[in-house]
Amino acid sequence: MSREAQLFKLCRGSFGQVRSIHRASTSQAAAVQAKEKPVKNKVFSIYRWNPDKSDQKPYMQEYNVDLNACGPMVLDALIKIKNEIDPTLTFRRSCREGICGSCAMNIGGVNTLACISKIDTSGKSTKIYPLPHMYVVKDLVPDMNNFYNQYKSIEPWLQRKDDTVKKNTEYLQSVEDRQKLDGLYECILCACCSTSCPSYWWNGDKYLGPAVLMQAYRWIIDSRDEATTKRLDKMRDPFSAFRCHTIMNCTRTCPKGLNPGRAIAEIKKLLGGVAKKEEPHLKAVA
Amino acid sequence: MALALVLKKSLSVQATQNFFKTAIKVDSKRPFTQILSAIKKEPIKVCRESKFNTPKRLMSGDHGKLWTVERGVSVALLGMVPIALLAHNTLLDDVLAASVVIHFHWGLEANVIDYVRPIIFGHAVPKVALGLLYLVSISTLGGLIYYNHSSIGISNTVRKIWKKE
Repeated sequence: MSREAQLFKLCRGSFGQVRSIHRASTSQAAAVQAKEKPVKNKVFSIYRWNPDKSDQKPYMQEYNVDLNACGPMVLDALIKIKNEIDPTLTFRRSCREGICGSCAMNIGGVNTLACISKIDTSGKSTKIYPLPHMYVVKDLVPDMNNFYNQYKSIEPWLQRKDDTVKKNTEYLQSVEDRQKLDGLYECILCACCSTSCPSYWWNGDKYLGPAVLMQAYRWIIDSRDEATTKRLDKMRDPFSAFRCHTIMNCTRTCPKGLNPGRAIAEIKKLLGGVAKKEEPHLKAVA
Repeated sequence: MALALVLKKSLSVQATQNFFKTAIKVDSKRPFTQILSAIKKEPIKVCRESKFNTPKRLMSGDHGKLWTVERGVSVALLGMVPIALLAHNTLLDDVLAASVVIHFHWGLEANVIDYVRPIIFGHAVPKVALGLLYLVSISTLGGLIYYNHSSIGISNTVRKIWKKE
């Protein structure tokens, strides 16, 4: 290696530092340039309802957002509106990356998560409503109590007959048995599917809805779970599971790309005696 | 920082209109209640009550077996319809009448249960609607069987309609 190259290698770090100092001075210029970007206005038409003003009916309020000064997702626009235009706008949000399910709402006629749906830049206004057919607490915040109670009712935890025996080892499960849970356990319970289902709209008090049924199925087919019969017996009536008419809105709308419709079909097969839960490949307790 | 925020907000025209809306008068005696004090709890409470006071439907019974039979009949109809229409047999006509009527009945029953539901219509109307559906289905079945035995029957009628003049 030549001397020059060695010298360069030694000094590379400091070269970089010099460069970054240089860049800092230019970054201000870049910010100015960004500010001079043309204003690209986008109208968001958002459902508003305030429980404090019980005499006022729900209405749609329009907000103008400059897309060149806003992040790419609908949630970015909502946060921008709340920060800069109207702090009274109310909505749920948390993780901003599609894993918490808080920001589920109806955007442009589709139930989805605001944080992972891109703003439609076609120029038309985007309409945002709370999840359909839910009681509204305020603006875009729906009352999820019924949904959570239904989830509670399926007892979403591992149940075994040897529960009382205190053991210090894990329950075993073969790779194949574990694979059966793929596409089921990823559900984040955002309720997009349940609230897109007409059957759930009409009979939400009795019908469990796609999200809860898919989780029920997740525990029914778990090879380690021993409460399968009890779980199935709980939903043999005409309403809990059989109100599903295979409309398949659930699968269409799922922001996580899951298939609750198929899970419900499998539950129906188990309830109708057409299919049976497979024996576990591996004994849970060795 | 706060000053910068205020200045930034005052620059935006839309924000200035709403700036005073957000200002919360802090009550030093009750530090955390000033936000909640204005909230009336009525609207949400009313929603919940209306949900729980609605009449409940019969939630018992095993629907699983019936579901299997429903699917079975649906699949069987695929073969039954052409066979019965080609065979011109009174017995097969009766079987066709029965299976088609029960198939329609189950479909319409789902409609009645979904749309004429106690949460909207109260106790009585859903029962009357379901009763009417049973009446319609039974009289249709009776009429078709009577027609099969006292007249030319379903399959021959279909043939007559499609016959070249």
